[in-house]
Amino acid sequence: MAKTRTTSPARTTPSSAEAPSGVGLTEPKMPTGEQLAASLAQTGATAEPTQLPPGVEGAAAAVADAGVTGTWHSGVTVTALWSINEIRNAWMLVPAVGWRKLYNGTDGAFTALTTLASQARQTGSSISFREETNGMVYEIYLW
Amino acid sequence: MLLFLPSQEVAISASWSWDHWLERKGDAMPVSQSLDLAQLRGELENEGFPWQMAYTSMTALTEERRVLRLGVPPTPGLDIEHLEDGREAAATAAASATAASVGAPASFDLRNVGGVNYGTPVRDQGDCGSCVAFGVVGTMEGVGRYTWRASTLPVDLSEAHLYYCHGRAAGARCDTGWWPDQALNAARDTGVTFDDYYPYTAGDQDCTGLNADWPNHLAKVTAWQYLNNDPSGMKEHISTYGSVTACLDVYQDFFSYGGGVYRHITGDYAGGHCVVLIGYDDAQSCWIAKNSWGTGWGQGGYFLIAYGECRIESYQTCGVQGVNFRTWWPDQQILGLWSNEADANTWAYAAVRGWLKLDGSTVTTHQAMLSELAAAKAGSRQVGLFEDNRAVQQLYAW
Repeated sequence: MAKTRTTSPARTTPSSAEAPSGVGLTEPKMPTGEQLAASLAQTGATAEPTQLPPGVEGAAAAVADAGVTGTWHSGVTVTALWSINEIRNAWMLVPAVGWRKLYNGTDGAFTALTTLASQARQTGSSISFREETNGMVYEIYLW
Repeated sequence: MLLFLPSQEVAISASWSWDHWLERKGDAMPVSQSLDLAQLRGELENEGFPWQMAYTSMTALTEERRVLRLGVPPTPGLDIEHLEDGREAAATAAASATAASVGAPASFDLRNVGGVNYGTPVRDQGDCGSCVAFGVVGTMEGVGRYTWRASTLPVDLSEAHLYYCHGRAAGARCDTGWWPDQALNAARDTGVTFDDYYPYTAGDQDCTGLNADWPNHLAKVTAWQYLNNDPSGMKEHISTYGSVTACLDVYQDFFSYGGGVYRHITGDYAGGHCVVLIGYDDAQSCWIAKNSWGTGWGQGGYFLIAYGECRIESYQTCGVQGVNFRTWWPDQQILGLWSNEADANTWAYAAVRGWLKLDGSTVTTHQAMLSELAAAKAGSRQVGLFEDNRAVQQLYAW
């Protein structure tokens, strides 16, 4: 279970001890080419957004992608971010949800998801995100 | 009787007919004397007024000018004297092919889909038999807005480009008309620019009015299919994609249509015409159509026509399955950004256009576009997006 920071944010960077739990700080393993291809074939590469921005006609009827698993959290905000000097290791803090790690499979996806989470933090905009059973965030809508 | 031809046979025959039709251009159709409107009123009264007659933008014209607007050649091999032989059978077939049988809603109107109007304005083709261009362009506009769920998309396409450039290359002139299937092939293979790059005016032109930058301001049909003699397929297609192009036999009483569900009551055959079907209603057993005779005709330019009438299901009916764009969309507000676990799969929601994929050929390019759009979104500032086939290729973030 990831923990949230409850102490005064005197330090700008959490220590290793404060790092979100449930994951080691070791370097993530790079997927092999075959693993990556299989992953892209299953989900992601051909997927596209299906939800509509709040207030847009039809938004209430929007549903998640058919066949996509995972848990959706909608209408939430990002109140903190965390990263460390390791390859593709960044987290976001969502009130009432906790710390969640951003998908770390590839540079491109990791960077895009981190940008969206950072924008959400900076602007206070709401997001909807999907987390998979491994606890990582695989998909973000920034509204 | 040769009323119901299989789709393939219609296509082959139409090709043969087109050359034959062009050869005899000028002596094509005899023009009847104008219909006596007192006679029409009497006939409607005898039938219990199934529809309302009115003084329309068409009744004000001479019969020659009315007939000039009917720009679909007759079906090859079909005797005009026997056009209505299969009328009852066609009506029964269309009524029994309920929308429910194909999982479609019992009624559909592109102008009110859950309270949203995806229609585009009624146009006026003027003194030219260019109805095919209006029928096809109107269908592209409707399908473009509906399939992208973009009800305010500024998609005013150029009938002039389709008729005076593509049609002209195929031999079409104002006094010959054209076929929707040929027009759709051109719209799919070459595309149709927007109206501001070649505004429509009635009268034969040699395409010199086309803006040279038209390949960068373009809409293309992704795919289309024949729906001849397939009323349930037509209903399914309309409710899925928004519009269908259809042809009908026009009789003189049609010029005075002012409302209600049209059925041919009286008057001579005047010619073939192309329109856009934007809906249907199984309860009233009718199609909802948009004409190209201005808003002074019919119900603000629209009309209802009974199932089975005037070969509306069998003359030539074509369904468009999608429309793609290559153009700049200026003054867009970014309302949403999205990404998932795949590399280079980031999308932006532009207020009028909807979701577009950022088309960076590399992850770095993708990231640059995402950063600029995120900055514009954070500041609620507008962006300009150049789209090609649903992908952003270039952008300004102001």
